Amino acid sequence: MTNDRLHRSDGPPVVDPAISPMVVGPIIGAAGGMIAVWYALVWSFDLPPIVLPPPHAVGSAMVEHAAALGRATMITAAASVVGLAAAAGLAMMIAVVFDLFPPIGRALFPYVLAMQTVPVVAVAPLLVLWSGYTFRSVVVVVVIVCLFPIVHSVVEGMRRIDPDQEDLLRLYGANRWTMLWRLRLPTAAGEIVTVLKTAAALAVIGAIVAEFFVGNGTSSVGLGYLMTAWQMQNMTDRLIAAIVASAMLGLSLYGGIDLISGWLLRRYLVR
Amino acid sequence: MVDAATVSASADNSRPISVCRLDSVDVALGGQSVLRDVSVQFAGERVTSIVGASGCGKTTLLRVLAGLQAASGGRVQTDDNVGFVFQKPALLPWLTARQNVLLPLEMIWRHRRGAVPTETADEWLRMVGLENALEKFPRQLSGGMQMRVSLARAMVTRPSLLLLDEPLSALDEMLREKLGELILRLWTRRRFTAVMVTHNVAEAIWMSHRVLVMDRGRVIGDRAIDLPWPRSPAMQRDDRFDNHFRHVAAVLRGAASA
Repeated sequence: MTNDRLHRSDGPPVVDPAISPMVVGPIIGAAGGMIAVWYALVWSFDLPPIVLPPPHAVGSAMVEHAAALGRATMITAAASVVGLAAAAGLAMMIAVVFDLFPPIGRALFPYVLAMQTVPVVAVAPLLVLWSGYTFRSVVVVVVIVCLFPIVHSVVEGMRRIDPDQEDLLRLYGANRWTMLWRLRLPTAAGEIVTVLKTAAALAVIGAIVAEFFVGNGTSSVGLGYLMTAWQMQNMTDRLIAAIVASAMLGLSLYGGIDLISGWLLRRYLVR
Repeated sequence: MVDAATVSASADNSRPISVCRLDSVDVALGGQSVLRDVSVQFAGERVTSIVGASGCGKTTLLRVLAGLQAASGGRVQTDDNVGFVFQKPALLPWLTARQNVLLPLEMIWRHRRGAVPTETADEWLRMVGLENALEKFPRQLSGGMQMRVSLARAMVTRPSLLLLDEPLSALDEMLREKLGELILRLWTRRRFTAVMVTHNVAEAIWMSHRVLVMDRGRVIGDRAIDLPWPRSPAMQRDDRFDNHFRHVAAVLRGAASA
């Protein structure tokens, strides 16, 4: 183990996103194309700003309300990150319990599958009602939204072990805990990273939906509340600016999880 | 299962000779009878090969000897220091060659005080010709090299019983012969009881003291191979080899047409 760390050059390479003009060029081109289509729609159909403001109006709204958007984004980000971290920790514990105690896993795993089909919009009002109109409620909704997909993926990932590798560990007297630690969790590393990235996007969605219902009952006003307020005031340019901010938040969380989990689990991600 | 007490860096001479015996052993899997009334003994420092068609129970017999498969009936007496070479290398991809070879030692050392003897892993990797690949990950090694790591891993606990489940089947002809010779070289140096499952009759004959033929869960043939040692693939040109080959092939053909 020690020697392995000394010989870093021989270790599995950290996945390089390969940011090159060949990759970035088409992406920027596509963004330019979409903005052009947006302008074309506004001008061709002579759409009023209340229906669809032109891109530069949205840009102006973003600059003008940068402080409010920034604050709201930070609050939504905080709820998303805290909720995602709690969901990830809880999900890992549940997956480990399912693995160590198969009867519990067999009894409860179908419910994990079923819970993923419950739409967050339907659950959020209930959770807010139960936990109060607070930041904590937003976090609880994020946890509920992210928890079940993570449990599902970790359990499925652990089931993908090679039977020969399992036999090998059994041959040398591995108990369930050793099997979990030495084989099942490392085997599931790929699924863990993938589902955490997916859950990052879900976390932002969950936080915003919860904020719709929490409203300004808390002093912490997130993007969800801003969106509701601006939509009711027919401030479409600001509403779209808030949507852009939420998209950027989702992307940042996704990228952050990709980088951090990819680095932490790099040894286990190469096959 | 392997016990830490059986592993010693220099205990080859004092190591007990393995005697494994199956008496009227039956194994049923999913309602299907896989082994039927199998009685066979593997004793002393000898290499035994088991041949037979797919699904005849060869691998199940090996798994019973390893303690990985419980018998549904009969009596099993097996060794407590077993090495197992799987058909695929079955290396853990997140561990280096050295760490993979150390794995069995770490597993059986985990309830003991003191450091795991890492030099033992290096010694075995040197013995299989991989002294330059200690820090390489499986993906950085060829299929043949991965099989050699898996052989070193099986040998690192100095087993008195080595079980090999078609260890050569995934390799090309050249590598098969080289790895076969390597297995026999290790056997010559360390002397253990070896039981190898193979589809290849020629391989079974030139590598073994004894060849068992299995069919539909039963042992239907048992042939002592009296070719001189040391063995090599070149012995396939020997007249005595031809005799053994014809005999084993006839038993297999008889089973197929029955």
